[in-house]
Amino acid sequence: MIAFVILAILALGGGVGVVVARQPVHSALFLILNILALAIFYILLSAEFLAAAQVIVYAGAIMVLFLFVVTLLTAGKDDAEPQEGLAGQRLTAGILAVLAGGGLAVLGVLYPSQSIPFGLPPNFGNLHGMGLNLWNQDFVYLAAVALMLLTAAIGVLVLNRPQRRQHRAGVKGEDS
Amino acid sequence: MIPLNWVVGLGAALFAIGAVGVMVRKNPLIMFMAAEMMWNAAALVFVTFARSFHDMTGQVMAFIIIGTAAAEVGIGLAIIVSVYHHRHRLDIDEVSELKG
Amino acid sequence: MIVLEIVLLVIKIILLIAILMGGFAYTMLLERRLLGFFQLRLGPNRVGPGGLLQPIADGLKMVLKEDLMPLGADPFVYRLAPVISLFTALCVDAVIPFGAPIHLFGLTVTLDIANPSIGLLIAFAFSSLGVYGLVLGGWASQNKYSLLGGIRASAQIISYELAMGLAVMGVLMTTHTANLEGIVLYQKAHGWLWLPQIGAFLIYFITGIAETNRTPFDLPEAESELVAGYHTEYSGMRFASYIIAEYINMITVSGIAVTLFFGGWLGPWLPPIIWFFIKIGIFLFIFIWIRATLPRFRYDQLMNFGWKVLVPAALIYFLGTAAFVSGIL
Repeated sequence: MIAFVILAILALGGGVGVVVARQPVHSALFLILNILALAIFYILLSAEFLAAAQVIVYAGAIMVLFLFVVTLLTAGKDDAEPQEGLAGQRLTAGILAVLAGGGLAVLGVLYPSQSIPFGLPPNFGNLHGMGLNLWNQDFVYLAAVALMLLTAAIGVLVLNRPQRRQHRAGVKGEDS
Repeated sequence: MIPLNWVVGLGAALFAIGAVGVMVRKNPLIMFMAAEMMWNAAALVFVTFARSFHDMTGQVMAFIIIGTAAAEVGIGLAIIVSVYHHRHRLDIDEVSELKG
Repeated sequence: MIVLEIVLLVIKIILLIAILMGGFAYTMLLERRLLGFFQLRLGPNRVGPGGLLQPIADGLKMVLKEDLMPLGADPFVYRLAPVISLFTALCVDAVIPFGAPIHLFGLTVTLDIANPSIGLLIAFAFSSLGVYGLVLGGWASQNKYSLLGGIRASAQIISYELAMGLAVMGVLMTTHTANLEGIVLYQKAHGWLWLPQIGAFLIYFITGIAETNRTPFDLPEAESELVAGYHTEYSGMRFASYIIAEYINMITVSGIAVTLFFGGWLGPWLPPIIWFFIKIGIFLFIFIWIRATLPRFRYDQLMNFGWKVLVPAALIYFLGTAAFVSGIL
């Protein structure tokens, strides 16, 4: 319970920070905090392979890519956002979020617990178990992810065709 | 033992925060990060249910989410960079017309 | 019993940090002396017998220097960045087994802080976090050269991490485990892995040099182009943190290479832990030798080499190993 409270505070703080931070780099830092908190949650929920994948792929590749682009594009600019826009956008978004998010959260908390406390199956959530699942009954999903990553890599290469900035193109096809 | 119900609630809260971020901010990079947070919230709920039902399928779903996010970030950042090369501003309203 | 284990854990953590800090100090001295010899000069030999007390003098100098911060810098991120670098560099070593388990007072003591079943992945996770220190430090300094250094670091490390991961997967497939101690025990039974995995080892070592930003891959801090890259604005202990992190990363890369390919602590006659340190020392010597020999890459050469040579080569070796392990070949 104590672990849950600490991690929830970290995750929520990171989440709010992403939305309210003025500088994109600070947003990225808050998102990294959020991601690391979730990774520790995964370990507590006995999904150790996913925890490692979360840190390696999300924190190690995706967020580095984000920081790369953020530092490249926003270097030496002040990041005041233009304030015009839809009237009452913030208010509407806030009300919608409180309604939807609050409703979902309450539903989630009140949903009768179906958890089976004991007797986790062997290899639950570790490398071996994930491998067994992904290469047997869930092979379709593994193939789908592989195809998606390949498509993304080709798409990035096409989007950044050589007329300018050739090196950037290759950096994108980060694999999991 | 952490209370699984509350983890699901936390996932919902993170999802809502991410949705607010997408709706309120105008910097495409920050909107994108908020969207990543929504993905993450969904993955957290999947893993929680996997733990609660002792079924690895939820973890496989979270694996797909991580893989999808990697592909999506690659494409999305490439689009943002190429839009920036045309417009030299990071403002999502600039691209609302989808015209060069 | 639990109290005893916690005390033991704390002792092990303190010992590990002490060993790494001492290792850093004397690797640095070794590098300066060896570079001196490679260039037909003496190197630092004035402080203590043969220069052996030089690290103490360097440390004193670093501690006593003024801690500067540029006016436009982002104060929080500027202070956070070196801490991230040092912290992640130290964390990776927690999963490396430094020697065979020893028996003390009826307890079996493993010579690593933690021994998770996915130890290799944990080491990779922490080392992939290390780049944040470089990028954030470069960004927070509000200086063109620092920023360029940070951007270079992020692109370089993302590119080379891919080849590194692919290279290591071959070992993982051969040994059927991601536990570092398990990998060493496999090599005890089946022979060291450097010969069957020679391609993977070479790719791992090259990417390891790139990951630690050493010559010939030291573009993030190329002193002839970028002043000092991401740590241009840093001084005093914050600068020292970056340097310590770089040298500890060298020790870590050597340690993982020894564990994966050269049998970890295995070896005849001498005690296991001595063997481990001897092997790491040989790797550190090779690091310094390469630094003294090779000139720096150009940036486009670096990217081309990473994406057009190392990744395909690692992929081919990976597929070959997969075919071999699964019995097709």
